[in-house]
Amino acid sequence: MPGSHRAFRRNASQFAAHLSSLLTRTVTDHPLVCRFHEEEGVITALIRFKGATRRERIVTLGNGCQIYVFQRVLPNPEDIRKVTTAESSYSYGLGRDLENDWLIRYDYVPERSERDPEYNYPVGHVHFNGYSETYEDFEIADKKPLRKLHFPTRRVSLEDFVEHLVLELGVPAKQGDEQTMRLLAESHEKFENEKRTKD
Amino acid sequence: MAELLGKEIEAIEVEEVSREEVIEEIDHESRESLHMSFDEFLQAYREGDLPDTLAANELVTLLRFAGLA
Repeated sequence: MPGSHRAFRRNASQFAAHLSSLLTRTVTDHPLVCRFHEEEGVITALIRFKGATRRERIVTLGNGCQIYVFQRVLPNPEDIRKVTTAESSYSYGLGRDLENDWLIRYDYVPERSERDPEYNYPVGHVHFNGYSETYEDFEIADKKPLRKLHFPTRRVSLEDFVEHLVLELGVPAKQGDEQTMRLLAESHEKFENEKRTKD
Repeated sequence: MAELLGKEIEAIEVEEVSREEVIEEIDHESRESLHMSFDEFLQAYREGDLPDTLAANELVTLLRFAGLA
């Protein structure tokens, strides 16, 4: 194994451990796992909730809200020992059937944006699986269902996602709201100062 | 080990997966969630015919993870 892959594995595992701790210290006991695939000199890592099936990886929080999280990371092209996010998706729903009844999905797809010339949407965006009568009545050529619109955002971090869940959806915070907000702020600051490589 | 708010970050479970294992997983999950085999899923992906569901999104990520897309 090349030394750079060893360093990438170490850094990707640490990054995954950081994200997992963020979740297990705030809103769930369900940890993330870090999976590596290496073939023909190319290595990538997938970070997602532990579980053998999708059903097991959809996590129900203390107030019944369900979340789903995954993040695929690659060696950073400028320093292949470091980690860069190729894509991430954080979603939640308020019922017991996230698969069909998700409400919000935050997507961040820098790799697709760079590689796919037909991809014309914002790198960071949110999908809203809701209903708007005025949208349904509004005339737009080739109109998509509302849930397929890409509402532009900047990159929404896992810290932002958890903060939103606690503050606005009433998800119980394991250490109380105040301590949780401190933890999220510290984690966010650490990422901004030490790890961020892209917007 | 790094810390988060004064406490050491827990170690995380790490798995190594082969391309064949990823294909097997996509086949299993695709049959369960989308009623498609791996080959049908891959064809639908290439033709832009996948449904817009959380399951399909994650399975596409698995294709990219294994260098298949």
